[in-house]
Amino acid sequence: MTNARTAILARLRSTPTGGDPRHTLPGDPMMADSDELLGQFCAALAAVHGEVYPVSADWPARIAAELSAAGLQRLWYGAAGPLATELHSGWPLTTQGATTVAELTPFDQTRESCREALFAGRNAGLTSALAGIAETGSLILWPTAAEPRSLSLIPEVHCVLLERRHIVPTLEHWMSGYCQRTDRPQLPTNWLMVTGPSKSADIEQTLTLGVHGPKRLLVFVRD
Amino acid sequence: MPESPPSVIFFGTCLINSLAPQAGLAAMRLLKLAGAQVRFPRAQSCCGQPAYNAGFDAQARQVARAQLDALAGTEPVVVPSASCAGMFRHQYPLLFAGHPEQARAEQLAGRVVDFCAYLQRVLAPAWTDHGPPVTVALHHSCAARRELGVTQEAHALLEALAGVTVIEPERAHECCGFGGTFALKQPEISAAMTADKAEALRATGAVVVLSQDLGCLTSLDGYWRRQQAGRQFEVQTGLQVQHIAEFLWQRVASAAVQDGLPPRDTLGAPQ
Amino acid sequence: MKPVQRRFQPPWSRPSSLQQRLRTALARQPVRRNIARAMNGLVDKRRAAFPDAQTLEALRDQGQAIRDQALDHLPTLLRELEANCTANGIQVHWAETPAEANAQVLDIVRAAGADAVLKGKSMVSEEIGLNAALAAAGIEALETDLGEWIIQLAGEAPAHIVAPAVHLSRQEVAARFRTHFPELEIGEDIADLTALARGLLRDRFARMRVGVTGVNFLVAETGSLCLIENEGNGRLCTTLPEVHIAITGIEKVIARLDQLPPLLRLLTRSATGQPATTYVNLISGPRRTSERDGPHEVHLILLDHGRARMQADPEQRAILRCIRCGACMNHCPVYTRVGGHGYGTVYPGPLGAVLEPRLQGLQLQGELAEASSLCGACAEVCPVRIPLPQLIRRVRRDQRARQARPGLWSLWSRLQARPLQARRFTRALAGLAPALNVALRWLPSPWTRSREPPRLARQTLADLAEQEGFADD
Repeated sequence: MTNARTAILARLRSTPTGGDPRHTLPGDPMMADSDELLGQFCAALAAVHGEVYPVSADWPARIAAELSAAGLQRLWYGAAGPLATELHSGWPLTTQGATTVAELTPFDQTRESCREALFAGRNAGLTSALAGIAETGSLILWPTAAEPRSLSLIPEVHCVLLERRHIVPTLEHWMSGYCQRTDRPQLPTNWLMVTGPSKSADIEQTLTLGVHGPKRLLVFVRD
Repeated sequence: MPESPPSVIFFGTCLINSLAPQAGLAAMRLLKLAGAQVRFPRAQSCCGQPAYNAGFDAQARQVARAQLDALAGTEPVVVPSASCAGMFRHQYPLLFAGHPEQARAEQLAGRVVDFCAYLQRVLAPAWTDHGPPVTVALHHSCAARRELGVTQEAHALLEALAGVTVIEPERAHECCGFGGTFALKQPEISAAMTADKAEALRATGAVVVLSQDLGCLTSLDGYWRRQQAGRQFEVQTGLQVQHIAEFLWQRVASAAVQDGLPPRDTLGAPQ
Repeated sequence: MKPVQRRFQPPWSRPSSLQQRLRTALARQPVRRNIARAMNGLVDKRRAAFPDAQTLEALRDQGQAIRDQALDHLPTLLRELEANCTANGIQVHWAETPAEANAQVLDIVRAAGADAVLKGKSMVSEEIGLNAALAAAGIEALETDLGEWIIQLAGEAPAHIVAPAVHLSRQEVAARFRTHFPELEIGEDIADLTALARGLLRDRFARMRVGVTGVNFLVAETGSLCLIENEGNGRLCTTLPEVHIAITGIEKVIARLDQLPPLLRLLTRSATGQPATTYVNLISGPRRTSERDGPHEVHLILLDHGRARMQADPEQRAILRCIRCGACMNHCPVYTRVGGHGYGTVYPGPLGAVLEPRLQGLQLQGELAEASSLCGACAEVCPVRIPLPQLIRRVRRDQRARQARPGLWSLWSRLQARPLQARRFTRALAGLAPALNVALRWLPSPWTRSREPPRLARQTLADLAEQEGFADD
């Protein structure tokens, strides 16, 4: 193995030419207007079959209503995650026109121990988002120990709370912002950009949603 | 019109030399008619592309060297084939990179220009169309489209003729399947591509197919004639193919000048 | 097309194995229809994804510059990547050959005590024949990408590097499912077929201990693996098992994280016309102590398999820029008529014609370079501006150097290089035109199988130019 490494590196040539490729941020630099960004974000997300709901402080109730309408039984969330406290205090006991409200279920053990429960039944998962990308309707997720990556992957529906002021024009904008930070935090084990629900076009190039990941992506944008 | 007549060198190409000389002659006459002084160097033969594309660089260089000699000078070299013009312009500098002739190859590359592009961009003729109304399908070779980007010029030359309607076929961007030795190395796939192109051209409803490249036309014509050979007593199924220079000449030269043209017995005529 | 009566097949027109494969592929009309339709769709989607030509060209410049920078500094970047991955807890392995890479996977799988692995889509795993190597060791490899799973059930190879089951209609997919799951009732609705795959695979996802995937880009600066996908199977393969093994070629590295967005932009838009895939993952290590999910081990296997030799050659290096979008094949008039199976190699199309002869050797795959008309449609759309026709010519040149039999070409070039003789020769041909034109029709040649031969004129242009006073020394 070490031999392979030595042999490969010995075969390679370095060509110390050329500078560092320069980058320009795509799009109109003037487009910082937040209404425009929100509009673009919503349109792009709709185009990839994501759903957008503008919300305010009542966001837990709005999520509960959507989950009840869809007949979902549980909402998994990060027990120590950034949304936990608000979620709990705002979670309704009943929602209009529905008999049951989804049960709040904290993801507070290792996945191995709650695997059965995560895969069983009809679940939703809730995560925060670090940013929204207006151009593509994408969400930047930063899974942590407090908000594990499985929440955005295994449940049938993925709910995201996004702060409107965190919408940036393009991925280039977000990435250059992150890279230029002097106090840049270490990347998580699984940095993630999500654009719409899981999909495939492997059979006759026909789009189908919910192949292996979530079938629906609900984005609650808080003003 | 330029004040002093521009001088050009004409490179006839090996295919036109042997298969469609009337097209080469028409091109030279058109250049002359549009005000250029045309010189056809006797020592020219082939640009060397067949060997080059087949991977025989040494042989290609040997032939290309002879063209460097034959086409020496400072005048523009006008080539009635985008494929050969592309060979000169883009491949000669690569073929001779690191060889003693590199500078000469680059000098020649900078002078070579496609026939339609030169006619349209430099001479910009304002000709009267003498022909009857006709609809033609225009086929651009891959070299004209991608290597040189001279499709607009061919189009503009035809559009300027009052009686001519130009159509491009469906999937115009797709290769006709000729590809030089490709047609011999991969005959089945080449034939499948030619068949699709031929059918798309037929579907335009045009009766004449024009192109800047004789290679494509040879392949299409061969396909249509083969189809025709199989059905002697039916109506003609093929289209007439013609190099764009020959067509232009027939449209714009007066009948008297045209008498000098040799009989059209080389391409397209089904008898 | 009316085939013409041919009395015998001379030895020089006997088809090679490549020609036979292409012929077989051409004759499969339903497959041709499926592929042609799919490719037309992908071409349209790509065009719509790049509405502004100027922006596209600027982006292609950027993509090329990023990839060139990486390849020019490959040894340095690989060392940096290795150091940063190691610091992140990713175990880095180097493999010179497919056999070495397979053995490394096998060792890791055995150490994990697994008898089966989940697989995310990986062309490098196809390149090294991983599934077969695992099967030989008694380990099951379960493909989880929908298209890959379909062709695995069918026992076929991918027909396209991005869309592996592109050659099959929904009816054919349903038929393959029925053969495999006779106990289930299976219709031909695409949503139902997809739901069936979800249901059948989900159960396996929850249980398996090793996941194997490819990698789209390696980020040296952060020691991260970038994986993009639409279905979520890739995420399941890299999240649920205890061990994640990523296999990729050494060329996939880029210098910095901020170089990723333009490459992703080029990749997804060129491949499927998507502004972004559903998931873009940057994996930067195994599960950290406090974390509740993710694999406990992440392994990265860096495969050479001829790539280092390509990198060391200034001309061939360009093919290593490739970001595997498949646009070259989607736009190739040969690929769109025969599909991947016509080429019979893991990488088909213009990419395959350049890459496969280097991976497997000129002796075995050099002929692939003949399956191109050099039309240039591939280079026109390549997001990182790989000069594919030039590289195809290069393979031909290397192939000729190996075979070293210029034969007729020597005669031809000697003639064409001597102006006087060339003129006499073509004039003589013109003089014999009537007889030759008849003879050409009866001479067996690949050309006359489907077309009438060209007809020689009775005078050459050189002579006509002479007569009209154009000729000059």
